This record gives sequence, structure tokens and C-alpha cells, in this order.
Amino acid sequence: MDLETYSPLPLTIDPATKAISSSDPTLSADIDDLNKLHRLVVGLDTPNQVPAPPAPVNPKRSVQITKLRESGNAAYKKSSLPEALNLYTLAIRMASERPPWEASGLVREELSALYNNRAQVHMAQQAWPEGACDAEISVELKRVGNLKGWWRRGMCLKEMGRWEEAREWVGTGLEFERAGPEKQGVGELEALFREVCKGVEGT
Amino acid sequence: MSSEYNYDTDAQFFPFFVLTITSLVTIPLTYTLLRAPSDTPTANSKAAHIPSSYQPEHADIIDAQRSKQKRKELRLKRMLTAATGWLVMAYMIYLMYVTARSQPKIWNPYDILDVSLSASEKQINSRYRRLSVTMHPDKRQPNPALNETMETVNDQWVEIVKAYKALTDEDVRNNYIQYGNPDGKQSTSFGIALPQLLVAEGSGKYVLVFYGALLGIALPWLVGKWWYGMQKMTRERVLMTTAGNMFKEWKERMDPGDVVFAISSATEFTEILQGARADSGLGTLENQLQASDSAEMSILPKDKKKLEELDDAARRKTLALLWAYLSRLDLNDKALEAEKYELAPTAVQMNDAFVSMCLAYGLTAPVLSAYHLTQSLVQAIPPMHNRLPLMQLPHFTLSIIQEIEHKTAVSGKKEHLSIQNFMALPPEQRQAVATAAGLTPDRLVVAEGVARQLPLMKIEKAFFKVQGEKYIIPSSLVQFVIKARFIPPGTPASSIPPIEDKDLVDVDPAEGDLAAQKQEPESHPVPLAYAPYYPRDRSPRWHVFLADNRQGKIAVPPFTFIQFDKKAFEDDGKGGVKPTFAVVTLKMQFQAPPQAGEFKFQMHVICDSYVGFDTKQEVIMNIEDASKAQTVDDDDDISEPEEDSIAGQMATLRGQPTADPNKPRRPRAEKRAQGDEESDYESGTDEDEDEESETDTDTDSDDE
Repeated sequence: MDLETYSPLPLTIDPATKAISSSDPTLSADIDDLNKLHRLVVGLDTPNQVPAPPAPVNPKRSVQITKLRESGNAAYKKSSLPEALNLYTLAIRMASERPPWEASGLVREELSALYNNRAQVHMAQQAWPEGACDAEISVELKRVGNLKGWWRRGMCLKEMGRWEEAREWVGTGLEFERAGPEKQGVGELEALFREVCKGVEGT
Repeated sequence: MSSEYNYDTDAQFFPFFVLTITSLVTIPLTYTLLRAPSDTPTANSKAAHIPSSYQPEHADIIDAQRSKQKRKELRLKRMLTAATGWLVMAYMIYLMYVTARSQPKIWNPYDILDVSLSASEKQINSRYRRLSVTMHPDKRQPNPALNETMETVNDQWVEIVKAYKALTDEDVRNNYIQYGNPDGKQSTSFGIALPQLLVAEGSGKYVLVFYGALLGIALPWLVGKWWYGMQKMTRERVLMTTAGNMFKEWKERMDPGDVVFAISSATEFTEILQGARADSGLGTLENQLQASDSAEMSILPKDKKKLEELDDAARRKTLALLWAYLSRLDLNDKALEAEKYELAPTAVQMNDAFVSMCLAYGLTAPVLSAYHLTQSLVQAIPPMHNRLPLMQLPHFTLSIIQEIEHKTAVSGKKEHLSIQNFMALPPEQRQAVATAAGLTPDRLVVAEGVARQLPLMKIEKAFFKVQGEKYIIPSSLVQFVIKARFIPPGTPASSIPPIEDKDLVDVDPAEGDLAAQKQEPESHPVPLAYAPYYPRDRSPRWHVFLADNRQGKIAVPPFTFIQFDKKAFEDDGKGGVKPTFAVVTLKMQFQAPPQAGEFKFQMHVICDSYVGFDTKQEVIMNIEDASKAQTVDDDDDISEPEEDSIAGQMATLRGQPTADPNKPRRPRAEKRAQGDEESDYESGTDEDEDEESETDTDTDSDDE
């Protein structure tokens, strides 16, 4: 960045919504972020529109997300899988659109669980690639104590016939989980591991 | 008293002065020239080349770059200066030798009077009288033939008188004896080996100006240039501004494309593409990048976006050229091509500096990305996540490789076919697949010939040990030993000799054997990397480091190996190299963690000049409790004093123990160590061998 020259950018501001737009396409990413932030701040109902501290979390959003998740679970139990999928997707969207000043650890937890659930739905539909992706995201958000995530992706890879990758994945999962809080449930993962190793030798 | 300064009017002393000054400059210069080999980072001249008949496109440009670098390394200017200096010195020596120096005449009265040294006084007197008849000025006419004037005649007569006086007159003779000259004490005179004109009337101020310029301008300028030059560079010989820029670009998750972007911020590139060249040709370059197919596949969209968003023209051009180089894009412009190839070695150097930055952060992923980028830069292969190792072989293009992979794809494998796997296919299948993909058989033969000479390291055994101990103790100095062999791809299994067990064991020299401990292992180089697109000679390096998989951090920083203790490749007589299959040892040392337990590490061995030759392996280090350390037997170093000696008497006086001939001599520590291992099955009678006989009470049996 050259701090010595000032180059005015071609920006225009819409008087009603106060949204910024520009004729220069390279700026679009930054401008979108700015507009989103603006909307979030404007939509706050705290006095003077100052963002609240992260510690006592505003329950409105969390409650909504939890409600969506529960309805998704219910739909899954009733085996209406497309509905469950939609509900989960909505919940995920809500959770990811949290304003940046709210606690990020909370976001990770919520998202991890939601993705896990969505992966389960995909697996029930036998959509292995989608399931694998969702499970991977879930694990990336939460590595330790996420037995189900590791197991689900391992299962999907196995079903897709990607034995080598499955073995590597499940092995890593075992490493993480063996020292984690859910030591008891490792047996399932180990069983999967054995299966996968056998599968690798088979090819 | 006044001092006399005699300047070098006869021009006989200046050679000494000039000789001294010139030698002060020339000799250090020659020394730095001769010392060159350790300075330059190029490959060891002993290392072989891997020959091949393949010439990449624009081989002429690449070769031009290579020779330019060689010339720079030759440091022609310095050599010229040194040569001139030696010539001048030689001429001065010649002058010194040849110039008939006017001897400072030792004033010898005997010679002046022309009498022998043992002449008596009477003889001297008579000689004087006779001379005065002929030589007295009143009696002599100046003889023009001998170049005599009235003055010289007078002078000569004065000399004769002086001589006579020196030999007869008491005072004069004393003067002569004391000072060597009858006129008494002369003032000291200095000889200065500089021409007279320096102190001549008008030239004084010029001399002053000259000295002023030397001291006041030239010296500070020289020192300043040296000092600020040093300040500008970091320890890795990278400019400070570059280090700052690259530091800002570091992110936790970097893939090689991001590393390319980070490197392009280096200021060294703007120096290479100097001034006017900084953005010439940028338009055509970018158009070509956009238009070409191979670039489509090689550059990820996000990297393209980053390129487009750059404002700085010079950096944009650098980045575009780097991507063009990596995707082997043919820019139809000689100047651009030359620039493209010129950037590559600098990029590798910047990348090395970036690796050390990443190591400081300690996260594995950026370090791996940076190493992979080095590989890609040396081989000119796009550094995408899944790279195509087959592009390293001559005559293999992108389309050919895609065809081949299509045919040989093993289901379930996302990785691209590596050279090893390609050569592991049976020859007929290789032939068939290659011909179907469009590669003619003779080209395939060339490619296979090269593949058979590439140094692929195969790890036979990797283990931890502490030198001289059986167990690893917390906080001890642990050695990580790797036993490996170089087995090029495509070597038939039958020609690989089996490994003997003794090769896999690392034997430590015995405790007291200082000579063996000090012995340096041999170092043999490996053939230079086969990189036809890289305009420098490069020695492949192997980096070994241990990472903690769970945290994604590096546990033990990389050790670099360039040379090995056994000769891995030898000349096969046909201009190429063939492997010897000797087992080489790689050792690295680090400190063990302070807790006991089992530690799992992921060992990475990365070859930084070839793609696809890396190894990843899990290694486990077992650290035992501190109590298991071998106790050093420290009470036999000095045995108790003998009873009969003075020391023994003193010990008795103090009340300390003395040697008792009836007690057994303590066995040495080594024997005890071996005894530990053998004690399981051997009886205790071994230790009794050293025991003195219990019935022997003769005190004289002890040695004094």
C-alpha cells in the first residue's frame, strides 16, 4: 500500500438505505462486507446501536438456531429427509451469519453439531460425497471430542471406495480421540479402522 | 637542529613506496578470489550431472542465464584488478633490481688521498704534498672534457684537505671516528620516496585537496556503503524490506499458491526488472496468462484473482512472470522469456528465507507448502495441491500426462502418478500407455534413462537413540538416526542387494576412544538435480523434521543434508550415474522432552529439488524414567591410596580409607556395563577374577 498518494475510489452511496456501491468490480468483495456490517449494526436494538459485549450472549439467535435444530431432528426421525435437510441448512445459515462481535467459540460449537447432523441426513440418503464434506467441516471446527464426525467421514469414504484416504482419516481420528474426552466410544472408530485396513489390502 | 628532507629527485626510491601500497591492496584481493569456492552457494564441483539429450524450448535463453551467472561468479572485475596489481608489483621489483642506486658514499679518506689503509704518517704527508701540487685550484685548470667547472675543482680540493686533516689533525680525526664525516655532527636527513614536485611551490594546495578528498569524502563513503549495505540485509542475505513484506503475508493456512504470492513481494525482483523494464510487456504477459490453457489449469482462480487485484505494476509483473514460469508458458518474446528465467533462482532464494520465517511460527502446513514450492520452482511445475510429478521427465507434456493417468488410474487414489509408480509399471504396459498418449518410443527411452538416475531416497530404518546409553532419558541429547538407500525409480527389484543387519545398526565408538569419536564422517555429494528449466546448477537437499500431527506444529526443526557418508552414485562409464545401493546414515540431534512416556511423531523427509520424492512416516520415541539411566561408576577413577605411600600415610592420619590388599580391586566401569547385560546368564565368578588372592598378605604386591 502506498501511503503517500491518495486516490479517490469511485463510490456512490444510496441515500435511503445508506448502502455503498461502486462501479469498480475489484472492490465488490470489500464493499459487500462493509454493507453487511452496516446492516448488522443498524439492526441492533441496543441503546446507541453499540454492539453488546460477547459474554452474556443475546439468546434470541441461539434459541432460534436450537429450535431449528430440534425440528430438523424431529423431521429426521420421522424419515422426512428433504425437510430435515432444509431445516439444517437454514440453521447453518443462521449460525454463520452471526455478527462478528459475538463469541466465536459458540459459533464453532453450533456449526459443528449442525454439520454433523446434516452429514447424517446425507448418509441416510446415501449421498456419500456430501456426507463426507459435511463431516469434514464438522471435524475441522471441532477436532477433539467429535467422535461422530470422524466416524461419519470415515464411513462415507469407505462407501465411496476411497480406502487409502479412509485409512489415513480414521487413523488420524483415532490419534485425536484416544486422548480425548470420549475415550469410551473409541471402540467404534477402531472397528471401522480395522474394516478399512482390510479393505485397503483387498484392492 | 634543522632536519633535511631529501625528496626522491633521482627517482630511485619510489618503487618501494608503490610496491608497499599496491601489495596492501592486491594481496587481500587475491586471497578473496582464491577463497571463492566456500562463498558461492553453487553446487559442489565434484558432483556429477545427470545427462540427457532433452533440450527444453528456449534452451538457449536458459543457457545464457547460466553463463551469465557463471561470469558473475567469476568476478571478472576483481580478477582484473588483482592481475593489474600483481603486474605493477612485478614492475616495481624489476625497477628496484635494475636501478643502479647511487651509493651513499662512505667517506673514505684513504681513498681520497689514494693511500693504502696501512700508510704511515710520513706517507700520508708526502702524498698530500704531491697532490697539492697538482690538485690545488690555483694550479689546475678546469678540464671541460671531464665536465669540470671551477666549483668542482674547488670541491675536490676541499675533500683532499678534509681527508688529510681527518688522518692527521686530532679534532678532525675524532669527528671522523665519531660521526663518519670530518665536518662534525651532521643534522639528520630524511629520505622520502616521493617526487619533489609534491612540495614544490604551487602544487602544495593540490596535494592538500587530494588528501582532503581521500580522508573526508572517499573514506566515509566507503565505510558508509559497507555499513548500510550490511544493515540492509537480514541474516539470510535477504533485504530487510523483503523480509518485512513476506512476514506480513504469512497466514496459518497457506498453500503453495499463497507462498508464490508472498514471495512476489520481494524487493529483489524490482531490482532485477530494473526501472523501465519494470512494467514493460505487462499487458501482453497478462493476456497470455489469461488466454493459455496450461495456465488455466495451473493457476487456481483465487491466485488469479489476487494477481488481478494488485496495484503495484512491478509486483504484478513479477507475480505474472512467476506463474508463467511455473506453468511453463511460452511467452513469444525473447526479452520476457529471459526475464522469466532470470527470476527463478531469486525466487528460490526468497523461498528459503520464507521457510525460516515459517519455521519461527512453528506450524507444519506453511512449512510444507513452502518446501513444495521450492520443488515446483526448481522443476518448473505448477504448485497446485496435487502436482504432476511426471512433468519432471523430459518430453512429458500436460496432455500426455493426463492421458497416461487416465489409462493407469487406480480407483480410489486421488494422487497423481509419481515417477516411482510410473516406472513400477511393467515395461510393456509403460510402452503401450505412452504410445497411446502420444509419446514416441525413443522419447520414452530418454525419459526412462533420466528416471533411472534420479536419487530417490528410501528409508530403511528410523530410530531414536542416545549415544552410549541403552534407554532414552528425559532431557537427554537424543539422536534420530535414519538409515536409507538411494534407489532410483525403475530399478528392477532383482538388482537391489538385500540389506545386511549390520548396516542398520548404529554403533557408537567406545567411551574412551577419543580418536574414533573425533573422526569426521566422510561426505560424498549426490549428482546435481536434473532440472532443465532451472538456469542454475542445484544440489538436491534433503530436509528431515519431526512434526506433531495432533497440534499441526513442528516438534523438531529441519536438519538439512546435502552430502552423505557413503557414495550413493558412481560413474557408470557411459556419462551417466548409477546407484551403489550403499546404506547412508542421516543423523540429527535434539533434546528430549522432560517427561517420560511414549511420543508419536510424524517424520517428514522432503527432497527440495524433486517433486514426489518425499516420505512421511510415523515414528515413536519411548522415553524411560530417569532412574533407568546407567549409573557411571565414579569411584574407580581414583583408587584409594596405597598404604605404603605418603598419600596413604596422610590418609591414615586423616582417618580416610586406604587400599587394603585384602579387598578386591574395583572392576572398571566398562566391564561393569557389559556385566549388566551379561549378568543374566553368567555366574558371578567373572568379577572375582580381579580379586586379589585373599591369602596374599605381601604388601609389596601392590604397585607403587
